[in-house]
Amino acid sequence: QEQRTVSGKVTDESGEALPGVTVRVKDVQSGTATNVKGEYAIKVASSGKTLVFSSVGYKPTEVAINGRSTINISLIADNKNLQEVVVIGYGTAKKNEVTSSIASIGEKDIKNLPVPGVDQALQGKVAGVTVTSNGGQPGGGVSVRVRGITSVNGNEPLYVIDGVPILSGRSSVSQDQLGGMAGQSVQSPLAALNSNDIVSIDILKDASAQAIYGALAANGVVLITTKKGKSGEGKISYDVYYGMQEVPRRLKLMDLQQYANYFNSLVPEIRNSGAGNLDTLGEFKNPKVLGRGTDWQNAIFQRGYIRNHQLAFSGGSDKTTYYFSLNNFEQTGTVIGSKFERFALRASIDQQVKSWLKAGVSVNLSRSNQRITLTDGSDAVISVGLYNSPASPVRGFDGQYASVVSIGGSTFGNPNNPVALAEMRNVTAIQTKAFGNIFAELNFTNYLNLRNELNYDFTMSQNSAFQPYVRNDNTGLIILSPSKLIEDRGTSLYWSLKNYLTFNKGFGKHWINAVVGHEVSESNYDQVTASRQNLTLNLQSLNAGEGGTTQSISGGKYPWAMESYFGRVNYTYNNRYSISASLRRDGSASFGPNKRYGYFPAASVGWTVSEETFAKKWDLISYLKLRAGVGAVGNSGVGGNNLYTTNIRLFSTAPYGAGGIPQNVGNPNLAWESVVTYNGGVDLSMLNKRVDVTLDVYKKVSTNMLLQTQLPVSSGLGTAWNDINSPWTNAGKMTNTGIDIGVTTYNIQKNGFSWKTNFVFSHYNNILNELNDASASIRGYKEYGDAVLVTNTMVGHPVGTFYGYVTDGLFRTMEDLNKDGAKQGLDVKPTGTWLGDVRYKDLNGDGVIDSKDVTIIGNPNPDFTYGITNTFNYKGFDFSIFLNGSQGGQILNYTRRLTEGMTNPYWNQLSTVLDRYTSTNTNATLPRYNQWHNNNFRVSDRFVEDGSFLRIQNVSFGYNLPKDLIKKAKLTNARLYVSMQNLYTFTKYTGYDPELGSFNNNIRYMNVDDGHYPNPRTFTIGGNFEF
Amino acid sequence: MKNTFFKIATALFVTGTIWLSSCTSDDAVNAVPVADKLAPDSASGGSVLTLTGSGLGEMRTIVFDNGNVPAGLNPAFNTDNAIVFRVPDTAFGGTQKIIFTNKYGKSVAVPFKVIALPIVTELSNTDFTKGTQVTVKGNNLNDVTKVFLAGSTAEAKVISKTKKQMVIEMPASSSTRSKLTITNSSGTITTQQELVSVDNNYGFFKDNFADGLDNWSWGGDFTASSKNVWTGTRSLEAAYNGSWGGLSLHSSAGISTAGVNYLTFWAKGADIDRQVSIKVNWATDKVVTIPANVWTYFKIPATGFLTMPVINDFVFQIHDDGKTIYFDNILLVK
Amino acid sequence: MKKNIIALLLAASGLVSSCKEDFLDRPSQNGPTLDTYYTTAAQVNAATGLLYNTIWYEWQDKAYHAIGEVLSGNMYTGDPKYNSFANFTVQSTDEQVSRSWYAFYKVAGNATVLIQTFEQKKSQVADPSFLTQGVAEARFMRGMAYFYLARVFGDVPIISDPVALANSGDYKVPRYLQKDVLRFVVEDLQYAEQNLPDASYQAGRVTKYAAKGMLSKVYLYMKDYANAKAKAAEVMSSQKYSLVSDYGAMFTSSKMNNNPESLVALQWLAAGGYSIGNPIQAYVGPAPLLKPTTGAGWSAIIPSIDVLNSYESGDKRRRWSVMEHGFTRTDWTNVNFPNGFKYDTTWTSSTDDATKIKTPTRSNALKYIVGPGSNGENVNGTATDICTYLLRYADVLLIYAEATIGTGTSTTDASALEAFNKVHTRAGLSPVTSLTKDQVLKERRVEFAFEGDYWFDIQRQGFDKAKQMLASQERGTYNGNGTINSMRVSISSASQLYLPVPQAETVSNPKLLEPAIPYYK
Ligand SMILES: [Ca+2]
Ligand SMILES: [Ca+2]
Repeated sequence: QEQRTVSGKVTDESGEALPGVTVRVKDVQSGTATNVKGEYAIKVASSGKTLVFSSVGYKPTEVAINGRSTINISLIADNKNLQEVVVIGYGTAKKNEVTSSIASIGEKDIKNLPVPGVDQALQGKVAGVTVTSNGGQPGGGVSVRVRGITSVNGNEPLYVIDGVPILSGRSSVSQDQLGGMAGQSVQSPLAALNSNDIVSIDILKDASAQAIYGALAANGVVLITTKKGKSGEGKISYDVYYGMQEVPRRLKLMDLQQYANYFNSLVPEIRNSGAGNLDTLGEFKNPKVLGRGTDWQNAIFQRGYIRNHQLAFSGGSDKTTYYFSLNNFEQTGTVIGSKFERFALRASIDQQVKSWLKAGVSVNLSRSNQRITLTDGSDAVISVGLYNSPASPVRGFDGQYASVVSIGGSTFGNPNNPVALAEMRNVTAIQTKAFGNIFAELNFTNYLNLRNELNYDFTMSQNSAFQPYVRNDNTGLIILSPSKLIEDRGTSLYWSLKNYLTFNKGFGKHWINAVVGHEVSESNYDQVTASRQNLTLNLQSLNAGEGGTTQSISGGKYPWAMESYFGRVNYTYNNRYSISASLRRDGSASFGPNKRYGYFPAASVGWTVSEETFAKKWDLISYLKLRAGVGAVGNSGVGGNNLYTTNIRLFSTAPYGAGGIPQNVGNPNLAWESVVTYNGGVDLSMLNKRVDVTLDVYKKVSTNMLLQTQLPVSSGLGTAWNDINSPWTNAGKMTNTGIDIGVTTYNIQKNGFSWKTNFVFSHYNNILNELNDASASIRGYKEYGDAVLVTNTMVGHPVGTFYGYVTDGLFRTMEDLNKDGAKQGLDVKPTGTWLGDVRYKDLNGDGVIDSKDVTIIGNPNPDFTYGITNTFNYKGFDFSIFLNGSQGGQILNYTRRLTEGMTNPYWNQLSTVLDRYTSTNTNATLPRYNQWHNNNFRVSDRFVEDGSFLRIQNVSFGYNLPKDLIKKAKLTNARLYVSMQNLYTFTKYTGYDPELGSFNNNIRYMNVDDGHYPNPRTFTIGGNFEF
Repeated sequence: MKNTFFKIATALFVTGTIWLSSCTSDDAVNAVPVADKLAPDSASGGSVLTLTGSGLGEMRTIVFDNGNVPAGLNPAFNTDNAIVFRVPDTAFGGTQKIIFTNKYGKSVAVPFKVIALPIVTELSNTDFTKGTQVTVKGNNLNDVTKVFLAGSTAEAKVISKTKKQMVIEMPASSSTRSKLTITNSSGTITTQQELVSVDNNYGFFKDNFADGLDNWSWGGDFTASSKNVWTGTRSLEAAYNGSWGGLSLHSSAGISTAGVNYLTFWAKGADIDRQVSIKVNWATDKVVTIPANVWTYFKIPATGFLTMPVINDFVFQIHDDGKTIYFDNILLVK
Repeated sequence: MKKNIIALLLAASGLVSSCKEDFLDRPSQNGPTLDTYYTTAAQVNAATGLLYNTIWYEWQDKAYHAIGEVLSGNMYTGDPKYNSFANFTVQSTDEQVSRSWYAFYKVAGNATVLIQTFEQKKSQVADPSFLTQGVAEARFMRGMAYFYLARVFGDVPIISDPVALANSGDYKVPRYLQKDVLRFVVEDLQYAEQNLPDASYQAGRVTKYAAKGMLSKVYLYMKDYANAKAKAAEVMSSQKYSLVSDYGAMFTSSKMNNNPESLVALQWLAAGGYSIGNPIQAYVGPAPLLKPTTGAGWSAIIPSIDVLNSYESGDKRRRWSVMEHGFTRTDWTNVNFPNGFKYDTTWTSSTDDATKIKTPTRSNALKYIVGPGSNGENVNGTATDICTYLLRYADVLLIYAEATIGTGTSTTDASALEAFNKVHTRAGLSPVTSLTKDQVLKERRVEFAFEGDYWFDIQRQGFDKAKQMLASQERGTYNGNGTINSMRVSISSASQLYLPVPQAETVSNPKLLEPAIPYYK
């Protein structure tokens, strides 16, 4: 056939060149794409009459060739988002065909954020998704909750990256194995992924969307799509930023002068009690000559640095596209000793092998290395730093760590030097990961294709926890002991094979999109842990440790498999009425033969009202769609392996030798957790498409939760590792109702100036309706031996509620004391209950304050969370400000038990204790100094605070260098920017940071501040360059 | 126009980069420390001193130059304008300089007077006759000039002296007990400890059993012996050969307790610690532990113990298995 | 082209169907299951072996001393973890309350699951005698646990079938009368008495006579003096047990584990580390001795002034049980004591920490301290090998003497005197010729000091006498100058003789706050 060439240039409405626009001849499958200058050239057979131009975000445009050899056109921007393609799992859909609740965010919201993991980038961007960082530890855990709290078990959503579910988490060695508190060991699973490789994130929020993921989808599904090459001239992009981090707020602790005054004032207070002696110290006689003393906050906090480089190559011909990238990310934390580093490499190639066959491969390799400083515990770095005396030095003059210091015969300082703990303990988590897929896509016809896809995820974790023996040679005091090394290695291999047929065709006014498929997956996790102590010369090597009694070794293998069938049909009539239905059948190795298979159906409908003829006349409303759906999903990945049978726990070290003891009491009928969601939604575009609104209301009911029976302790069955575990059952019910609102307004768009506002609002109301026993509850404890109850999740209430005593002011007069003093459970005397002590309420009125008088004293769940983003563009400049807020959640400021406890004259305290009760300050806000009993610092509403906050989460200012200037440097695009993350927080919370997340993602420990690692404030400066 | 933006943006970027990459430099001021005031200007060991001035930060050593005695310094008590520290117990008395040296080797010297009165922690031997050598342990003894028996003109002769220890030779005394008055360059003190005159007090045993005592002992051999002597020529070798053996001394005449304030004796234990009950007239009873292998001084107040007007029976009964214990100078001290 | 497509399709589906039918069967690869286990004596014996060890740990570690010794005034502590036991302000939220509750029920629960499991397995083996013996050992330990529960908490829940409880859905079990709990204990011990062997099949395993000894003690608490005396007499006449002459070594050397005086003892293994080794020395022992090699030695609980004063002169047990100034052990060496440890209380400041210690009563308990590991003892951090005695022959002898006095106040019965004097004269004291109940009580105090039992001796005297005994105690400490910073306690209600049920339990089961009911209808 005779061919000729048509060429030209494609621009947008403002005349800017549009690269990457697909250009093809109508009725011909293959085509070309415009280059960076928007230019194209295409060979047209003589039969070709019409060119089709298409590009995401623009209306597809057909132009008759009419014999021309040059055709320049400008494309018209499509209705902002409604034509966007949404990833829905096992396929994509146009947004206007979607009948369920799916939220999407694009590359712009992810790029350049100075955080290791993309999970944090979701914060405040998506209605219905509550994201809180579990702390400022680089690479540390992030609590992501899709529509409230689904289960009393895990709540983290399923992340699927290019079809690969990320089932292996990241965690480090729990530091209690080295002695002391455990700290957080659950780390962000996404920190291993380079977020600059991501092109979009789609979050399936309701079960009608999630059901296609069946038994993995209970907590929501986050679909992550990474970058691919586009045909056209090759592109090199280089992204870089440098940043600096600091702790935004310091607590007002007493400095040495204040502390000396405080100490001096305690002398008569303690002596007057008649049961204690404290001597004045010459050093403190004249506090004015003293300096600020040791600032322990300065000692444990540092300026952190952050650095990111990313280099990517992409491009392709009309048959082959490719994308390669390299990334190095490095961050030192704001608490000494903590850091995170990642190298990541990604390669993807897609090839049109035949006109009917496309194949591709993608490989993601990454290695992340995290060093974890122990925080979150009453004897961890931050807590000890808070109460360590300003009179005790960090180090002696010889540079050796100091421990306690004797001043005039009294001992000051904590034996555990927090700086030594942070610097000398080396707890690291290295994860090496390779994941990706290989696929082949067969087009039988242009409406029917089959996709075969093999997914793989190979993960190696090398966790290590090391503590050297540290002794101060001068004083002979031991700083850290014993030396110990724990090495923990794990490998996990996951693969899955999917085959699914997609049918996609319109018949007149009817449009059908259907998928049926089959999937098998298998994973094997292998783990081994060894530890030795008393290491020769403090060598960080197992070889250096002593054998015999102090060494230990253990391991485990955890096989798992799943087989699934799934199908989905979407039907649209006349662009107005849509219906979607899906069904998945999962079989899982997690359950016994009785309950191995589960079915997860879903259905949803949509009505695009604005397409109706009567709506065409509406002036105000340009687009209106109503949606409703219902679906069921499940959860199986909790609890443990083989819980349906009674397993024998083997032990090797026991006085009478190795053997086995029942590990659990099996339950052969154990089955899936079930989550059913009802969703109703509206998509609305108003005022000539200047206001877009998406609103969803939902009710999510979790039933048959996998619960370990909470038998009374007196049953002798328990939940600790060496208990005979009580049986797991399916029981309980939890309901989340809520509303998600997303509003985007295009406020100004003229003269090259644009101003856009995005508002996101999420509200959920969580109620635990049932547990396996009406009186059962799920309790959260602190301190060794679970000594202190802090939360109690009870039927009829939200999860994670704080539990404790209710205060009723202080005993300020003898009259108060005579009336209620004896009720407090101690004698009324200076060393018992006395003036200045906290008075608790006798809730049950039995005349005694005791364990019957504890109740719910706070709720960590927020009333609502919100995010507001304002984006301004003017010529080459862009400016955005992003506010993130949380309203109504409460915080248990557990740290204040230490910092305002006033139990020990040698401990430093917050300067608020200067307003404590004394005989001359009877109107004080805080109780008296009290070393004689613990009543004043019981967990009570005294420590519950309002955790509401509004945070200037991000401010960024960028400038795109003019094209004609950068041309000289062979650049096609160059943007420089500065940004500030976590710039300022408006809050009444008195701790470091009201964003607390959940300790190790556990709902028992939401918003409990126990010496928490504060989130840093970050300043970055960076550039994006394209060649 | 565009050009200007470009320049501004580039400038911003460059300054930002510099700002980010700049590090906090060590403030090596190398300030010369200046001392304004040391308060108080004289004090004894253990007293807290405050030096005020300027440039006093980063101090590393504090040395009392008489004998180069270093003082301890807590870094938390060192600011640019003040240093709070204590006079070391080991400082030598007298006017001297305190030299403060900082991290950069710069020093400042301040005059100070260490009041180092003699401190006596231990006297041994406690029992004396004329010519007995007594070791005085304590502090600030190197510049002692005079030692008297308190309240008398009887002067002891200083045989040797160092800062921590001094040996004196006792004069004759007419008292039953005496403290010492000791004078050095900082002044004069009187000891809390007392010395007991062997000659001027009644002794059940000095170098032999006192006259008029009947040995009614059981469960052992109890003899004067020269094997292990504390003072004089002999001690009492109490060779208990079984559990609950007793050294029992009987005085049919009775020994008056009038004016007696203490029962004192020296004892040297066997190879392990042993408990001994002291029983007087079988009426009062006191248990003491006699440490192994070392001469130990026991001083038991008469109050509540020597309550009887005369002593007829005096017993040292061993607990546990038999062992040999040596006693010397079992005195009733007035 | 079509052919190719078909071929590819086949290939893909071929891959899938290659998965076998049991693709979803993934049995545990980490251990056996009940179906395949407990079919040999070795498997059963190893399982019952755990009943002597780790499951007791939460009580052994601190609660043991807090209850038995601090509450009784034998020991002092300033540690806020258990100082409420020193001043009688124990609350239901106290750590040691919940830990001991947890431990005793854990013992009972483990024992019960084993009892049920072994009973089920009996039909699957040819000769079930090893299973019967396993049941007997488990019932012995369950009885032991409930005996502690009855003494520590008084009226408590009895759960004889936890699996049935789990299936019932109603977990609110009431408290049962203490006397019924003791009867439950007697039934378990009687089963053990009938089914345990005469002699231990492994050192330290309980025997028929251990069961008899425990029965005599339980009967004593039930004030059934005739049975108490009879059971004690059976143990004595069996000639299987005797007093160890070296009382001191019995408590400082694991070489003496399971000696002829030991009827029941918890077994510990330092090699197992936390919860498997004996933790006592870590928190009772002095830092100069233990810190360099173990990082521990916290002197958290120390002998009280009152207990020190309770040793009469000449009683060797004081030296065998307590470290006081001058105490030396040449075989205990560490970096600071190359020639042997010396207990030196002349500490003045933290610079002395390495070699001296000045505890508030100038002493440390010596029992269960095996030293820093310099003399061949296995010491693994906080863990040691030394057994904890739950019943010694000395106890049987004193029970016999006390039961002979019975409801009277004194005796001159020759056999009672002989039993008493065996214990009394071992301590280097002269034999007595008549005996009162108070003498027995006083003897028990010093004989079993720091062994976690004295509180129960006080408790079983009843409120009036217990109150008087407690009021007379000096629970204070020495000031720096040696004078006493006195502390006296006074109890006002009989309920103070028992610990409260832990709050964590009453929160979910308010029935535990209601009056106890009978267990035996
Ligand atoms: Ca009440
Ligand atoms: Ca002599």
